[in-house]
Amino acid sequence: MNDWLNYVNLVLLFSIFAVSLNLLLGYAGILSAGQAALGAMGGYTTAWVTTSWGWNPWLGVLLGIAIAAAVGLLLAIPSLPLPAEYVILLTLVAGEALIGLAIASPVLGGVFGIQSIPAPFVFGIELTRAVNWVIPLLIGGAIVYSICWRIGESPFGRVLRATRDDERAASSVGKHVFRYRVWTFVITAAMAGLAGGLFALYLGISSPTVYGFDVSMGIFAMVVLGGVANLRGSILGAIIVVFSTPVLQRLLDLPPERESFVRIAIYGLLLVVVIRFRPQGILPERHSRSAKKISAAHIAETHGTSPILQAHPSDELVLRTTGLSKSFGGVVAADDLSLELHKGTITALVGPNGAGKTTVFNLLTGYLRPDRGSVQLYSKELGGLRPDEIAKNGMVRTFQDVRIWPGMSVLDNVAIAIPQQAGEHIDQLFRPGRQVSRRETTVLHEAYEWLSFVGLEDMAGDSAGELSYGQSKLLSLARVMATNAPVVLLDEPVSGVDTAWADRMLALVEDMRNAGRTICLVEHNLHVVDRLATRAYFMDLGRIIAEGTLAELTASPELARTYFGLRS
Amino acid sequence: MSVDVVAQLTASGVITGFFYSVMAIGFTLIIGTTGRFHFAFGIVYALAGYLVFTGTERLGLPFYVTVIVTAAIAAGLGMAIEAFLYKPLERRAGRGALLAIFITALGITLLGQNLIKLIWGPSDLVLQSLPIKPYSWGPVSFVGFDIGQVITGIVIIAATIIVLRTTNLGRQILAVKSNPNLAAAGGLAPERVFLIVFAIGSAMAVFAGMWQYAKFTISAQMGFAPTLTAFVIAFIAGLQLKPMLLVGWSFAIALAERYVTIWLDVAWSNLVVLVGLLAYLVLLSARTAGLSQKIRRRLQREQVVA
Repeated sequence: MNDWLNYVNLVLLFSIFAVSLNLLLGYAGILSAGQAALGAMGGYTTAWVTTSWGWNPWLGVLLGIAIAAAVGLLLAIPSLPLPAEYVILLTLVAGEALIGLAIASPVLGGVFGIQSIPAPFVFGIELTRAVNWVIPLLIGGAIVYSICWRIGESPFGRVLRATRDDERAASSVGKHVFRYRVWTFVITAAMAGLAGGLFALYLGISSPTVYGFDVSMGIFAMVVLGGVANLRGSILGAIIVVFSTPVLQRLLDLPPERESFVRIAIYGLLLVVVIRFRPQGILPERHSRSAKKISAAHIAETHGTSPILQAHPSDELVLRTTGLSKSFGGVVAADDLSLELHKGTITALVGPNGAGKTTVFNLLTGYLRPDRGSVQLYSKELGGLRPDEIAKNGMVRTFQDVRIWPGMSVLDNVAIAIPQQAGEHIDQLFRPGRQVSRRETTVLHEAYEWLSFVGLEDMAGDSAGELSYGQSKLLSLARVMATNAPVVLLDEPVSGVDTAWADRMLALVEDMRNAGRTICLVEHNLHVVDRLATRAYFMDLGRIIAEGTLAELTASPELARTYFGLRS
Repeated sequence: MSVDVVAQLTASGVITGFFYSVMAIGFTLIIGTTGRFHFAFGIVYALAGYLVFTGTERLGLPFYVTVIVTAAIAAGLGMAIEAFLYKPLERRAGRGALLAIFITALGITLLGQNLIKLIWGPSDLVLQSLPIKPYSWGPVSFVGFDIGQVITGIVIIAATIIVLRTTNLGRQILAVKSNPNLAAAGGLAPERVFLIVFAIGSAMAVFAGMWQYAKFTISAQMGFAPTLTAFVIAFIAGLQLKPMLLVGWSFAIALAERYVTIWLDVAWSNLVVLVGLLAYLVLLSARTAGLSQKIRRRLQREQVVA
């Protein structure tokens, strides 16, 4: 009986590790190989303050959580701005170094660790037996699960999934990717600290093997087996991995030592096989079902006001660049560019392939840093700002390669772009009251309106990956519209789209212009430019070599010869 | 602290530096060319130690013969991992393959470590048939295996430089490394080059490890720490396939690990690699965030205001 309860307790403990790792790995796409080592921070802290300073064990656990979070922050800040490989590398090295430090430190008990940690009390009951631990661990596990669920299934979690699937697209709609990642890393590090502290108290010992690399790998196995980005899957994974010990002992009838080798070898084999043949794990990631609710609600309601802004035609100067330059090595991609965009007008950038048109968009929206020159939006200097800051300041862009989030619902693809969402702030998620869910309802309705604007409302609940190419271009248009940014840069809005869709697209772009948005587009199709743009800049080899109406540009004999393919 | 102590620390740092250099070159050859986060490099290194043990202690083969046969087996194992595990994953997962490949590598590591313990037993092994010959040179003492480590290191480093600079294979590796698609368009088969670098890199792990197997004990986990160090060196060198750059960082880390013990307890030498990596990442992310540019801009603005 006690044995059996011991396994239940271990499931609860490892669920804390696995669920929090899944929030990090599954939702945020951050690979940390050091969760057990962060657990060691909690465990050793608890062990140290209870045995050496006589602290209350629960206070030790709290301090351990704080220290694990602090170490998490220290690891997160330098590695999260870099490609994912660096995070793996840093967490691996940190895990190895910290455990190595514990092994080599006599004050931490060396290989034997800190032993005979006193048992804690709850309401006067000393937690010495497995049965006493079930309730406290159940409460700890439930708290961690609820926090992870709240974060993962909120607008914050929606942004996390978006950054996981396409970081550049997330920053293009104003999300500061780094902030979301650091929060998630630190919160899950704190949870690992909690699990580690509880583990030390439960075992009465904190030693290097308790938090060794094998333990980190066991946690990995739980998450991958159970299902990445499915929190319930991680609990299932913890049950399978923990209970495999007694089951295999019965089945194989091996001596305990050999049994553990067989068991861990099986975990290894399972990891290889699962990743190869069922990468989504036993319980796959679930998609938000909010879309169905919203569309039902909308059909019931009468259609509200159209989200289209009122038009204020004017000749106001909205965006001005001066002397914008960028070179890569010896190649000049942008040379002393001066552009102006006027409110409520459509401006086109034309020119041959490699002329630097997309480079201009990248420079304007912060994806590239200019070597020289300035970009002023409503007389505010944007130079040196990040893409998400520029989006928040009112200039957004689409991408030539569309960059929607194929794994998310069509509705979520738009909802994410809507600014000022209470549910994207960690502190607001855990405040009492209903402001987060109320705001989310209005956000989803607004997103639905934008989908109706582009004519995709019937597909709101579908996965965006199922859309045709033309539909995904419309979706990316709905996404930039949803940001409410007054300046919109469209990178080849109709390339690769058949005529029927292209017509619809162009009509929408005109609607946007009529609604007072300022639009700049890169386009090869001169009919499109002719229909939409009042003004065009002709670029070649990173320079603007002519500007004017399209008629003026095509009238120039030199341009006609070199670019428009007309022989004079 | 005496001059003698510094001399001894320097000597052992140099010897370890050659070990790290060969590990780092072998690993960079793989990750630099293929982009695979090949964490299973460490288990290949460890398994090779056990094969050398079986060859010399159980079968009574000469040490050098065993090492060469083992290197060939390791090369085959590396190629098999690439061909049967990594390549299919990349085909399926594309851009998201990093996670899949890393988890597969972890799986191979867990499987390998525990199969080793089941086959050879859980206790550490020693190559007893190889005699330890102590030498001393002034204040510095070392063993015969250390001389082997230095000579092997010099040979492998020189061979890598020559192959990369002068041979057709070297040019193919560098071409595929810089742009696999372009190389494929130019008639090179990146898949074949990937297999070759997995073979060479895995064999290099054996040549790096042969003297470590002889000098220290052999255990299932022994590949972990040197692999991590090789990873760090490869990343600090920007994953560039420049042998002398890798050698430079290998020596810097090996010597730092030794010199730290002059001022601090040996326990802290565990943190040298971590601190080095952290410092490097701080610099790198500051540069990515354009911090220096931001500071320069701010200074310029202040000058304008002034």
